[in-house]
Amino acid sequence: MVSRIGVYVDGENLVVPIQQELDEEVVKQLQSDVLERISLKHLTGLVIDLSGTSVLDTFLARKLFDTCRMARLIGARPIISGMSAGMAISLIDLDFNPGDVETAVTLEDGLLRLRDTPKFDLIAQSDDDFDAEGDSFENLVKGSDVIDGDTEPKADDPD
Amino acid sequence: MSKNGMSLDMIPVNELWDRILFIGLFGIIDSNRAKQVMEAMLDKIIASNSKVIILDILSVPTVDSAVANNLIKICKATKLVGAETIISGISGEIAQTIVELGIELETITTTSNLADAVELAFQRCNYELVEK
Repeated sequence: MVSRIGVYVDGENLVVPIQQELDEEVVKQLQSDVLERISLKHLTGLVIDLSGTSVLDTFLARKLFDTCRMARLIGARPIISGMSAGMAISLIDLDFNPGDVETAVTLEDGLLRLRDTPKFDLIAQSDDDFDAEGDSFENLVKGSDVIDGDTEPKADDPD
Repeated sequence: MSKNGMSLDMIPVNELWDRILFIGLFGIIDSNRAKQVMEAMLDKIIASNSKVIILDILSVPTVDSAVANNLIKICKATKLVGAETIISGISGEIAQTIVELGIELETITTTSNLADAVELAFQRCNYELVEK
């Protein structure tokens, strides 16, 4: 029987606190649970917190980091938090490459960072905004005309 | 513990600002020394919940591929625990050696002087320096 790791939805984010020794089966189960939950609930963030574990080999670490990359593919911003100094040193000794996955010192820190993620705001995309953009674009064009007009006579003067 | 061991064990990690740490390295950075620096750094990062650590290598006389690899390892370990390393004090000569040796510093942030590194660290922490 495979023990499962709980995944918790917090607003727009999925929080995964890992508080047990991991093995291949558990991580595999976790990976599918995480991806399923993110796509079902359209979540935009994922934090995997490792502060409850002390041992993690390169294989499992790669699986967890890969899970993060997969989560990014389905629209969630992934963060790994709470890795201990000893764990980091042993992973680096084994030539583990963290790659482009974001990291945070504490779970709280990771969640704070997710809160700052810019979200699509449908209200901001109203007609007024498009008008305003159009105006500024016209101004820009007008401005460049004036500059052109100014430079041409100056260029003629020395002649 | 021998006298020699005592002096090597001392790696001062300064708290430069809230959530910004500073280490000044000097002498030859062999793998032993690199490991000590790494341990001291990571412990301090976790204890103080820091976001950025500035590693000044102005007083490191030569950077060969071994030293560079150790620096890369330090940066990766820092990343794993959730912080970012900025390496400062890279002179023109060192930059030349690094490129000529074909060492890829990948995504490591580097600056030539400490002032730039501090400014960058403030930026990363969303601090702003304002003249009075």
